[in-house]
Amino acid sequence: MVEKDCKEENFLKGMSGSESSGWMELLYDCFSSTVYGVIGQMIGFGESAEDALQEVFVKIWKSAPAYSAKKGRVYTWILNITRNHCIDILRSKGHREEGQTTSLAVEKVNRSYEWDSAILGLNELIKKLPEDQYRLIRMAYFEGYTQREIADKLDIPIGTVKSRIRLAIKKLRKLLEIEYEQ
Amino acid sequence: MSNNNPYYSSGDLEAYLLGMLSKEEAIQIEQALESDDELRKELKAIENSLLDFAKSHSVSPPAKLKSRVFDRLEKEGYKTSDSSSTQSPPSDQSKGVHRLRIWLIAASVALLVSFGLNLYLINENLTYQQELSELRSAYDEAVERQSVLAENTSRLESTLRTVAQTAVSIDLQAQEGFEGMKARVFWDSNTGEAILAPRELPAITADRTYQLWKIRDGQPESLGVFDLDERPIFNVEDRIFEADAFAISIEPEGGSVQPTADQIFLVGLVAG
Repeated sequence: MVEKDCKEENFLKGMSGSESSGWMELLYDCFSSTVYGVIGQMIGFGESAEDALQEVFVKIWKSAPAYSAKKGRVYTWILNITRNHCIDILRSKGHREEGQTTSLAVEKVNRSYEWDSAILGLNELIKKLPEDQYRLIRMAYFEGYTQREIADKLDIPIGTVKSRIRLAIKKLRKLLEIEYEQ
Repeated sequence: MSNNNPYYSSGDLEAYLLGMLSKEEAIQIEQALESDDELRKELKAIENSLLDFAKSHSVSPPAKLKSRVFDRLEKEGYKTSDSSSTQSPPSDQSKGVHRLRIWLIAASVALLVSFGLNLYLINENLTYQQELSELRSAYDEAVERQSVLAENTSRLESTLRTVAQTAVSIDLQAQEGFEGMKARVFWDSNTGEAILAPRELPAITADRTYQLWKIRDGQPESLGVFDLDERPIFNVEDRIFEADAFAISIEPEGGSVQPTADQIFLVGLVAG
């Protein structure tokens, strides 16, 4: 497999509309695995995930001129578009109830899917997160829950939700720092 | 690292990146980030860890999906690398071009519809013209017939006016066995003109005919035969200056020299 140069500056010219060639193809090759993985975690894999991937890349193409580096990296911007699209699906009528079972379905799929070889190590690393912290980040990142919804679901004060998420991400950072230092 | 900024430990940076803050709270964070380099570094570190969290769940999409995605993008206006054109996202200018393209397509459709409509209308027009031509022809024929009728009517009216001024009217009475039959003769002895107006006459077979007579000094003289199908009134061609009575009889086809006695059914005497 040919290595892609996924540096952000390779997309910025194309995104801003100035001359560039093949930037969407490069963007797809660089990010489609993560986008597809996030979609699968949020709404489940299958036909609906394939449709969502298509819609997300159309949104990326249409929203590209509005991207501002001030608000974060291109990668984050792409994943925010992905998450917002999936949150819209999750919040559509009746999908939240299905979402309960989606998580279980996702766990099954996770085991049966062939993971992108580049992130196998990262995946193993994330598994080292304590279950409750992993669950909390999942709820906030993949399941589109608001702070209020997490507070209700975990039966904790809303003020505690933010601090627990912070601690969970801090733990995640620590694990990653150790990994990167090695 | 400066930890004086309360945003470091509040969990707001994490919540900001997770999209869990309100619009107002997000704006406050962005304002704080503008003036604090350390805070921006902290945000970037959190961002990277969340990206790694997302990346750790990456799954390669089915290979077929890429062509589906780019087919869709092409429909939206993106030109793939197969094309020599640049592949800019839909900027305002390209959106304008896109809109222009939509307008051009709409205009083309409108033109096509217009063309089709024109063809239809031309065809309809030809049909109407043909119908109009036929109607005009029928109208001309009717006008011609009307003209002939008008001429006849005019002549008849002229005769009637003449007769009405000086003629006498003679009612022909039904004879025994022919009750209910009626006819009238208008006669101007000065000009010799006479008109017969049959009123109630019985139908007769095709081998028979009506015949009008004038009677002078007991002698009948034929004024001609007539058929009820032809006209309601008849102009008597012969000039009549002297007559004692008028009569109608039913005779064999072509008429008779003398009226058949038992077939004289109407007789009218000229008043003395």
